Amino acid sequence: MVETFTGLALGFQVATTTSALFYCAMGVTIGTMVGVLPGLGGMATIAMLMPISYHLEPMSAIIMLAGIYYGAAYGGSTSSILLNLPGTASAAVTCLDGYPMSQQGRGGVALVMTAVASFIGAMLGLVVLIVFGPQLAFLAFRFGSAEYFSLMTLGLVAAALLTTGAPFRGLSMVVLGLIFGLVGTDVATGAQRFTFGSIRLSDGLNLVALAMGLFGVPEIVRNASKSRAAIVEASEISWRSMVPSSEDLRRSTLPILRGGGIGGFLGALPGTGGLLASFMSYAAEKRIHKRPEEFGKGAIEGVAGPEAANNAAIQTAFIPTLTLGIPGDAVMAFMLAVFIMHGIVPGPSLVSQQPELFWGICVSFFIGNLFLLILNIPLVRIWILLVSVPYSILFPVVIILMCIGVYSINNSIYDIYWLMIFGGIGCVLYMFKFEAAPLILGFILGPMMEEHFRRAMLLARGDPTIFLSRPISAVFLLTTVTIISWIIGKYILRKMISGKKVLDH
Amino acid sequence: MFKKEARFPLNIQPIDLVAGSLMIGIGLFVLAESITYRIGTARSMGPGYFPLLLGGLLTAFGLGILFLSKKDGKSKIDFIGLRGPIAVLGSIAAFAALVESVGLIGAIAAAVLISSFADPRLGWTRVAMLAVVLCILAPLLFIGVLGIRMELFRW
Repeated sequence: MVETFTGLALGFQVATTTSALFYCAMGVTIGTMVGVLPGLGGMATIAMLMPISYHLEPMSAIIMLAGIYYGAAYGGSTSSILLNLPGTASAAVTCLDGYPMSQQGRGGVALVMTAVASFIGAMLGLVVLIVFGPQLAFLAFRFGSAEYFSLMTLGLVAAALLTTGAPFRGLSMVVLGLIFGLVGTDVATGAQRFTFGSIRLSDGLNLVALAMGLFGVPEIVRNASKSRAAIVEASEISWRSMVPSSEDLRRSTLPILRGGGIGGFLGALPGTGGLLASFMSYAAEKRIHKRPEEFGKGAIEGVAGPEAANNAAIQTAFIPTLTLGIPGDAVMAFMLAVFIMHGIVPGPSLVSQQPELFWGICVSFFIGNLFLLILNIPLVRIWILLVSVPYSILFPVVIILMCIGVYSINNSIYDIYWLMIFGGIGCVLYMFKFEAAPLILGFILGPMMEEHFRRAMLLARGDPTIFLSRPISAVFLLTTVTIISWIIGKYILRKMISGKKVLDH
Repeated sequence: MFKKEARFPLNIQPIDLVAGSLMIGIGLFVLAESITYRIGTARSMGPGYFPLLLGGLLTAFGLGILFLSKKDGKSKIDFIGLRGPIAVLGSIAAFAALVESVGLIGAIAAAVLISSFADPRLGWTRVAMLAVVLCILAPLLFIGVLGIRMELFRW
């Protein structure tokens, strides 16, 4: 406990310097803006700004990127509620009951409640991060390669199966990502894999080009041809309609706490994140509620719970990233890459060797969330105006940002061509209903997984049962198998039932 | 007899047919390529070991996509058309081609111009204004504020 206090004190010192506060403020503001705008997600923005962050100090870079990350979680619900368009993927659930609330003239209430729910959820997640973070670091020392491999398998399977609808598509994307990750020189043997003689490929595929191409380009193409929804009048949101009634507050309390718990737990697991947490919270609230038929028609529990879960998950997603060096989700994988770019290797030793970094980040999260709460409520009116920016102006800007961003990493125009190639691949994936997020996770974990697999097998002298004989590893693998059989079993069952329905006709 | 027909996985939707075949194709390709690398043993893995496993998995999952295909409302291919992708990808290519030969300003202008084809409702004046604004702001941000080294003009 004393350690926690000294740590926090240290963190306060670091996080309240002018530069830290500046980048925190900038990050959360950009994040909120980006979250509000449908079509630009937190992930795409972080991918875009990653090359820029290379030129900043590590602390500032992390604070800013993290600010964008959890800032987007606040803003994402805004356009979900007002326009039925999720600003970020994890805010998709908020559309379900938030938009009906808006249609009933209670949009302002929804907006305020989501801000409050987001803040409380984030605080819960932060508490978990601070209280359990360092302990988890101790535990991590007992993690060998077998444990890491099984944990990553669990994470990838969870990402593949729990976030996307079609199980085999998700699994395919994960494996494809792993394969992409192996392109280049094999570190252990020095062999060139999948490079087809090209020297340029021997360093592997460019992560930023991959991410921007797979996410940014399809988003742009998809939205550029769609017409924008009608502009929402700012005058429709008056101060009075923004104040939640005492009944609203009462009804939201427990869902927020439950959501925060669900999100806090799920966020810490690799492979699961805000989107999953918000879905699970919605499902939980619907099952617990006395009148579940109200869901989908403006039940405030369906808005408050998922938002709290979402933000809690986003905070705790930093736990495995910071203390174990394993990304919690695809965005965390980017953060990891940013750390590594600056020569910092997250892992069990991070807390003890660089305490000012860890605690500084924690405190900065607290400051950032506070800032977001104060920012979001009064500025709801301005955010609404932002949502009405025509996409026709927005997308050329995004294209330019992507191109310059990719170029600036290596000053190489070939990276920009790769952006184009991945953009094409991304469009194809989108058309055939493949999700890109599991691919990115697979791409980043690929080389690591192979390394751990190799090492585990080496130490076990070729005996694959090592993954089950070591208890922690066995737990992970068993959980993985459970998830697989549950999801695929459910899917097959559904298909068999629907097959029967066709039969009945 | 009916039961067999209902379960027989030949009612594969076109979208799943292409998707699954794509994955199977890539999986087989990876398998073929991995064999050319040294496989090694489980105890001492060569470069081909892990890719071999992955190729096999991908092929299996591709088959899974085909097998689980069923007729429901969500089976339509969301064809995003050719205009959008060509405009966007073309503008990226233009940027890549021009940024070192003509300089940043030229690259930005060309990219904005070409990308505007994605949205046929855009008027030329708007596009031109956007290009000008970006040509001013982007260099300011990237070269001025962030210190990235790029040439503005090069001819």
